Amino acid sequence: MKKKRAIRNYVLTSIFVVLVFLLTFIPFPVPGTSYNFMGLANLHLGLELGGGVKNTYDIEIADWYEGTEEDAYRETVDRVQYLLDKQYSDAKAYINADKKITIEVPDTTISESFLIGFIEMKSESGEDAEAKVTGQDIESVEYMLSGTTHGVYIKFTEEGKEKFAELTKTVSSKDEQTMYIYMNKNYDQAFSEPTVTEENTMGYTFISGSGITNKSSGKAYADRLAGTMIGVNMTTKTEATEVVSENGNSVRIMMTIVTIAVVVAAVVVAYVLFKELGLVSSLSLFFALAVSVLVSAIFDLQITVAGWLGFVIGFVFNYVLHLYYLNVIKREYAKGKKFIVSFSSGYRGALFNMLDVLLLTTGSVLFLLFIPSNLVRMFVYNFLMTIPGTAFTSMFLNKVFAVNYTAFNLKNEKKVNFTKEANIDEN
Amino acid sequence: MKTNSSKFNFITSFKYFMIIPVVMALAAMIIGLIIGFNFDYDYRNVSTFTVKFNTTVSEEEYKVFEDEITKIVVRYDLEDHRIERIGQDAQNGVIVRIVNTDNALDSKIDELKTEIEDNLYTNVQSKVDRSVYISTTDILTNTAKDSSKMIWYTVLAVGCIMVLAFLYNIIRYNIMAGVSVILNILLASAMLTSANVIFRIPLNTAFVLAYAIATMVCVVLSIFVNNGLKPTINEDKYAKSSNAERVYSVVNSKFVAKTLIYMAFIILPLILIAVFSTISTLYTIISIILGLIIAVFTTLFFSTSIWSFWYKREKDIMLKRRQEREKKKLENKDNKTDEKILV
Repeated sequence: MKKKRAIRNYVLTSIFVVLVFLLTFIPFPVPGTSYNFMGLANLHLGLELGGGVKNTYDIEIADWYEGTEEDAYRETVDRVQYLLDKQYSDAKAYINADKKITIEVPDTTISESFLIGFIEMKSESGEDAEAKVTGQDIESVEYMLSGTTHGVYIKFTEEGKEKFAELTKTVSSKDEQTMYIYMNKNYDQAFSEPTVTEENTMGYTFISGSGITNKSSGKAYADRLAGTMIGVNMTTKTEATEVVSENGNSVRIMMTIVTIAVVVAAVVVAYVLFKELGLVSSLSLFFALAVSVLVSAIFDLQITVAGWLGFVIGFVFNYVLHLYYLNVIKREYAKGKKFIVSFSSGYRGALFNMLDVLLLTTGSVLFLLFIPSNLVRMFVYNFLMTIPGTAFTSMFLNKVFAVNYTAFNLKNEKKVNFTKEANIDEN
Repeated sequence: MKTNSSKFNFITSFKYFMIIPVVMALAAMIIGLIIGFNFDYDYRNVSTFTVKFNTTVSEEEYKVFEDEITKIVVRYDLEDHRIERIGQDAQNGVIVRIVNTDNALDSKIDELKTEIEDNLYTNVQSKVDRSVYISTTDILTNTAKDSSKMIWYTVLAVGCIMVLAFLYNIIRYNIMAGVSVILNILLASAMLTSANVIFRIPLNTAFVLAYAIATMVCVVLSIFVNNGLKPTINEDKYAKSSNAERVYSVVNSKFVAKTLIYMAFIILPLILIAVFSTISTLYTIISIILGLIIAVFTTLFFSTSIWSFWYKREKDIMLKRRQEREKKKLENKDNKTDEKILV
């Protein structure tokens, strides 16, 4: 009976792993939704491997900006990089020697939402109308959910409070009651046209509508407005031009070959060390690999060299934990225990050690996010992406496979490279 | 009792192995003071333009173009430069980077760009089989990035990792384990810095990865070492062993061999990628490989030696406790005997 159950468990888990592994290669539409699952096809290359586009922007600094010119450039680049990082894992913003700012993205266009602009709140539309409230009058901007309405909460400075009260008084007294908010000095089309029905003297306002339909659009709107507080306006007269990849085709091909070679070498070494048990353990490793690729595709992490390195280290790390468990079982078996008994007793000992390693490495890697570098961030994200798969497979699936396989398939210790050094009476 | 005395016990050779970091630190100090740090292009003003071939060229033709561009750049006396291949198929070409401190070389680089655009194909026409239209992009001069920000954030991140590892090891094992991890990471970081200075590896924005990976390897290996070593303190079979023998029973040549195999899984792929990557990536990979080797070295030879030293203290404490226990047992036995007599 036990043997039958072991066979059933082994076959079912194997089918599950193979299915998940296939999912990483086969795209399919998710039934009942409009979502197309793309798997590996959804993996995008980063700037250094796949290229993208770039554009250079002139900078205008507001009269009211209080810092130095250098501060304005630094603040702008930091802000743009922050906005880029929200959408791309591999995009750059940097200052040129000719006092311009260049943006490079792994995409076909550069969205205006990454640019920093002057904000102007007006009671009339058009360039000639007076800007009653500007970036210097805003103290803070944040996304807020008011009841069920998504919107942006804007808090004004003391001076801004007066100005905004004056503006809303003027707008509310007009027939159309429309306030015009401009960004980037694009006066042909207002960024937002909220309706104002009464004077606002509270020193803050809540803007809803204006394309804010959910949390993410609200946050994007707030991010855009927050950038206007810097006091810098980015403009360009040129179209974005193509950026060719620096680490080109050869590195991309090499990365694929090396990844496959690492996986094959891992299976070979596992087989040499533990024979059939090594191969069974590799099945669990494949599952972790598939999970990592799926997580990467779902979160659309662009592939970079640093990210790939994080992925490879994560894989090797998982491999070490898999073999560590088999080693512990081997030691338990050497003490004279039966196969099944050594799996359970070895698991108890190995589990806490594996937990130690997982917790400490995850914690350590998270601290690396302090470092303001895309490279490090990509490394960390890709490493972290392997952690769920590592935890599940090294602490659970590896044992399930090993126990169920040996329960019906092993009578000869040589088949798994185990040797008994002592005999104990287990009765 | 089985001892490892017949085998080479590297734990006993601690002082000899420690000569390596000491020598490295001294050499780094001397080189650092005389020449200073070697910063890569990320931390310098660099002018960049791309030379596009606008058609697919063969490997031999690529080489011819590269050599000719190098010749022209050298002729213009622009010594600190890099010429790297970019793109693929009809989009292929080379990117020319020239260090341009304070924009002093602006006009010279302009002339160079014109010269390449006008004469590159004419100069090599006899050596290439197809007609190639050479075009160049605008010159872009990047300002040097602020390295201090990156360095301080790296110090902060590594510091936080050290505190986490220290506290975790204290709670999970003992103070010794926590101290050994911290000292291990500190020594690895110092050795890696020394190695970077000695080998003149240019520090670019990715240098942080080498420190991050070295620190992680130190933490992971230390956990395996600590897990293996802690139980041996209470095992009677080691009572008569020397401290070094006790440590070697866990961190032996088998452990070293396994560690080296696992490291090979990371180092070999890195070497293969380095061969095909850009010069900046190559420098980063060299630094990472050095970091990995150093992290393994410090964990195997330094961290274990701390355990070896600390064992004596642990051993004394254990002995004292045992003596007290036996004394108490004896006293209790004596008291019971007296009571019996009284009854």
